[in-house]
Amino acid sequence: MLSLAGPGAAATITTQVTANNVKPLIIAKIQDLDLGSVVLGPGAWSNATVSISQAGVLNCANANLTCTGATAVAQYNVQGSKQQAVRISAPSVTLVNQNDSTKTLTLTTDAPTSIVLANSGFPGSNFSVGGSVTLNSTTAAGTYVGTFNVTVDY
Amino acid sequence: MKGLARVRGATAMLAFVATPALAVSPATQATATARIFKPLTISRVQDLDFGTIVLTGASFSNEVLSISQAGTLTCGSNPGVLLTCTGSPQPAKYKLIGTNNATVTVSSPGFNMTGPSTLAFTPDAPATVNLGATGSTTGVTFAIGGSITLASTTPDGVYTGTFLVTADYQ
Repeated sequence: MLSLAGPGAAATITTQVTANNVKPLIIAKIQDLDLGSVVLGPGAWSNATVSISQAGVLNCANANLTCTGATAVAQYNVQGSKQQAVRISAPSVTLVNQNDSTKTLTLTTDAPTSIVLANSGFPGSNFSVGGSVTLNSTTAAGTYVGTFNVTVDY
Repeated sequence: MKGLARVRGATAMLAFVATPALAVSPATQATATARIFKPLTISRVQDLDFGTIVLTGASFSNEVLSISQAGTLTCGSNPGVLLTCTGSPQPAKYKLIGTNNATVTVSSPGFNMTGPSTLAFTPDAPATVNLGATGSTTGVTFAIGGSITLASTTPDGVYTGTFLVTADYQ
């Protein structure tokens, strides 16, 4: 709203300001991601992918791979303001061979870009992060472990 | 000037509200784990051999002839009386090559030895084998023993059978 008056009179200008008050975001890890065990097939081959979806479905459909063991997606819990959209950032993760730190695998993450919080504060909303790695016949054996760098904001 | 000052103040407040919220991280991030194994191969090194057994006793049953994984032969409950064992007994041996230090489960189901009759063979195999530090190169060899049960009425002759050994990563 803008009010104007003649010369000599005081001029007043007002501007409406809207502030969207939201609760601070809280994020906590619920569980780790596990791709299980993968046995590489014989011979020379490349670009075989093993992945786990956000829903926890393992895809190991490659003749050169045999996947066994229990698998799991990473899960986080977010608490904040109800009905607020929360952006999720889940960059790729470098997995390091625990027997030889020079050997690494890149986990390309599969995460939702955002979620809408179902409630205010506790219990918040959960989201899952899956991912995929690409393997070759030359991939070194061993246990590969990496740490996510997941962040959220409004 | 008052009006200008108020406008500037309002603009400053808007700019403050428009500043993006800081990204929030969890106190503890999730980890991601994948266990990669090289192909596992198993090959026969040597066959099991009980040697030669003479059914010495006149009348007996349920005499167990066994050979351990270490190759120790047990010639029944009363060696030289009910059973007499000679020859060069040896356990079966297999070689595993795969991932260094990986633990492998071994499966060796029972089977029948056939000849003049049938003898049920009960294997004595390790449940697991660790491939050790040279598992991907020289691998590791493990042994399988086993046992059969004999009676004075067991038809004499040569009995043979074939193992069905498999191995898999744990």
